[in-house]
Amino acid sequence: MTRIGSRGFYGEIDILVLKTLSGGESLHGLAIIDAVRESSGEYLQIDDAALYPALHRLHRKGLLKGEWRISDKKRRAKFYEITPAGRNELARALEEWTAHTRAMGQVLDIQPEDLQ
Amino acid sequence: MSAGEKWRPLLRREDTPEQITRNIGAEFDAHVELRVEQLKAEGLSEEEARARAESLLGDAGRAAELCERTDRSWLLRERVGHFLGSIVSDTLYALRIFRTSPLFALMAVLCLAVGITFVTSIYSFLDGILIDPLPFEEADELVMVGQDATTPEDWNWMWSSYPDFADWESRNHVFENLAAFAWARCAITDLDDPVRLSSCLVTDAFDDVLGITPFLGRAFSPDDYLPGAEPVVLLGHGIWQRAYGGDRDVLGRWITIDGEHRHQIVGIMPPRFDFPCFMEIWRPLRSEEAHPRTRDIYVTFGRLREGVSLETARADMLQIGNVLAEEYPENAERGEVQVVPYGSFQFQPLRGPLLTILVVAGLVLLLACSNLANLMLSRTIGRRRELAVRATLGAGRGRLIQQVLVESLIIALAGGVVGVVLGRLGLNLLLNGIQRAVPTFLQFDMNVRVLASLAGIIVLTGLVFGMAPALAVRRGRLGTSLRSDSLRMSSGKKHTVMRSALVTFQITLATIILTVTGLVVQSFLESRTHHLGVDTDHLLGQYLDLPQWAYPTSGDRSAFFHAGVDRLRSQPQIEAAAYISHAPAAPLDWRTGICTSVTVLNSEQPYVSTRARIVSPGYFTTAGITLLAGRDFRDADLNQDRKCAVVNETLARILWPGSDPVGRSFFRSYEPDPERVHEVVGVVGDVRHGGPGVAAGPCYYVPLSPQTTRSTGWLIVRSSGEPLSLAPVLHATIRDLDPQLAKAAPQTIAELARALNWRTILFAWILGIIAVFALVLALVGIVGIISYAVSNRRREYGIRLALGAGTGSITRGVLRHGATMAGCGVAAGMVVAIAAMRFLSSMLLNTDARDPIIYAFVITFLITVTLLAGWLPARRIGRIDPVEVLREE
Repeated sequence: MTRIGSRGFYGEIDILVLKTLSGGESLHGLAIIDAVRESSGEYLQIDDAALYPALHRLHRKGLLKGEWRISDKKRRAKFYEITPAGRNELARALEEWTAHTRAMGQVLDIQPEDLQ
Repeated sequence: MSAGEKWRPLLRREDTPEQITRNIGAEFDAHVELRVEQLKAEGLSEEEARARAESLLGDAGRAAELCERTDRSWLLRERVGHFLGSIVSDTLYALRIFRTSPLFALMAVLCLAVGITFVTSIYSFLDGILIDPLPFEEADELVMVGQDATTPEDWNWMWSSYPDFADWESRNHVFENLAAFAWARCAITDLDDPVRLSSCLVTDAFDDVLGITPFLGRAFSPDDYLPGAEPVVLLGHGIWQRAYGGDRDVLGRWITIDGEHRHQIVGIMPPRFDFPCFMEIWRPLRSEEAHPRTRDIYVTFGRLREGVSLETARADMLQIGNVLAEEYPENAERGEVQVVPYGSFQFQPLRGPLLTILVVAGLVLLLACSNLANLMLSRTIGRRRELAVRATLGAGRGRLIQQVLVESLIIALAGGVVGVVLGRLGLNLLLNGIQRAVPTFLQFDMNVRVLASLAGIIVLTGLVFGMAPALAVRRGRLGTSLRSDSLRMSSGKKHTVMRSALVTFQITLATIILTVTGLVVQSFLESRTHHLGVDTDHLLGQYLDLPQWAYPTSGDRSAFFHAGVDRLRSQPQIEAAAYISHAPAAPLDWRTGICTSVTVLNSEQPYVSTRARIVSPGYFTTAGITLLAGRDFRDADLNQDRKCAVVNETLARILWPGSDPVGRSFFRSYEPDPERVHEVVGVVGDVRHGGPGVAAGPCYYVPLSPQTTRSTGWLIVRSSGEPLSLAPVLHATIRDLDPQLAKAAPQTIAELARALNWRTILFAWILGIIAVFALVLALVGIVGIISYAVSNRRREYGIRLALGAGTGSITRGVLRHGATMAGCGVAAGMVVAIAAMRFLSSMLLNTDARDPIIYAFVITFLITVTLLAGWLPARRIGRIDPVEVLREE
């Protein structure tokens, strides 16, 4: 398992958070961490301490909405939801990320089948 | 848990930094709690789960800090954005309102523009005089040293002789350095068009004393002053531009001065520099050229040594002067050695009047601001409903005050822009009016400092007049305004009283300003035409300076001047022509010729210090000087052995009090000397050479002859119409006589007299402008407020008419109210104005400070205006239809 901390790839956490929320549901911080871990096949684990500054940054940029709600565990928590601006940003970041990884792959001579 | 308790914490506001911090803490707590729940569900115990959750969170403090930083900068941006947004929306709202009531906006902007125009003109002026008058470095250390028997106010310059200067320089303990300046005439003769210049001979260290460095090239070096050194000159910036087109290559060039001497140009002086007075070329004074102790044609300036006070310097110089007076008896006659700060010598007489102007200017600004405050107040009262509605809809009081302030500031800005533009025009007008009357070193311009001060004044004015209505919004009970309909009789007793007080106050201000300015301007108008003793209106003068090399003997010079007078007299356009050695009614500065005191003696009176003038026969008629007794000079007087003289009234009174001076005689010397006896043939009226406010002083005239002639003097001609129309004739006549002679431009004597009077003229212009502005502002204010108040009570009048009141009684009531306000205002204003005039009487030259015409005019004018302002709208009361008014309710 790879821990993703504040010193990860540039914009790594941002794109993971936006992608996770792009389904449209509202999630609190812990749920986002869990969702990322699950969807990466238990491989990526976002650091708690790195997640919140990223969430606040995205929130204040208007890419996420934040709202205090009661969780299904009957606890108050701040839930985040993607905004239309967030979706646009995600699309842009995905394009960039794809180009980036493709380029990295070419340089490092990684074949698509290696990624399977 | 009730629904309320359950939901309350969910409404988390993020309006303050504290709320932000609290929310971040809560978010992290919630995270840990959720994690604990999750771990417990995986089978860990409470303690294990908590420990694990905490460790997973890691450096929570650092993370929280990062979140906080992000959120806080967001909050700041939000707040600024919100504020700017509200300002923008307020601005748009205000502009919309101005569009719907353009008259109000126009009036307010005009009011302010008038006020700002006024401040711009006056401030630019004061800036030129008070704040930066002298173009010298550390000008407050610069002092003039000289001997003068008269008071410094009467004489602009204090003269000394070169040996005195040398003694002062070697014996004093108080000056860093001293320098003497002497006026010397010269002409640059190797130009296509030879120019005649005022040139200045200077002693070593003159540049150090003044703290000035040349604009180009170098100042004089100590070697330049040594006997036999190569002759060098410094050119003034003006002549450098005029004669050499600003060519930088003139440095090092050799020029011919007075036809023979070759001089090398070593430097160009800076643009504003013409020290001591209208100089254009400076030359080193070598001690071998210096004049003896009897020729006091030098002015001496010094720079005080560091830490030496003026008093110390005065004491030291007084003591040196006393010692010198013992060593050289001729010095005793000249009075004490005085040390006068240069700034105060030039500006001391201005200080009192300028303070007066500042006070009056403040009053005018007060007038403008009170007008605006009233305008805004009236409007806010009219807008009570609107404001109340906005308050009810949730606008905070702060927002309402902000709205009113934004409106004020927009008006202030618009008025400010219009005002600055108009003020610029006003300043130009002012400068044209006083052209050539003020010393050239005074620069009047809208510099950055003036503009910055103006910006401050504009904003302050906006705040001041925005404040009154803004406070009314806060204090007024908005709810009450909303409930009560707008159909109330009138705007309430408090406001009526306030408005009456405002009108009375404005009338008081207007009375003070109009009375004071009226009296001073009247005194100027009088002093311009009368009291100088010379008829200045139709005289044109040409200053001439005959070079030594062309006119070697006094006979040549006298013959030239006589021939000039004769030729001019033969011209048909010229009514009369004459020669005089010094221009009449001109300031005693270096342009018009130095006048040294002459001592006269007769049997009754030991010594009298007096001025002397050389004139051609016919001078008194030409200049319009009254002949009081005896006769004018005749051509026959010129060749007689017995010298004759004409004395002025003052000298006659001093020498022969109570008896007829004609036929008496006096000596023009210290000792009775039969060679220098003069017989009085006539007595003429005094000519006030120091200006209308300064006593004429004793003076005598001697006829122009080879024995008396000087190389300089004025040919004066009298015209029937515009004197300058004679300039071509004058020019041509002199050219016919001597084509080589360099000439200055002819000057009207009125212009010379203006220069003599520049302080008075300056104040008359400033005060004249003040009067016009005050008049406009007072009219706008008084008429505006009263007619608004009357129309505001239309409903009340309608109802009174319906109840049977007569139109006459209502009109009488309005007029009675107006008369009360006018009476109180004028009375209060008069009391202040009369008190103020006592302080100002020194400025008033020849006007009676209690001139009844001015007072009567001001009183009549203001009362009439006030009554008219009430009567005009009241006239319409008769046309009010009571039924219509009641239906409106």
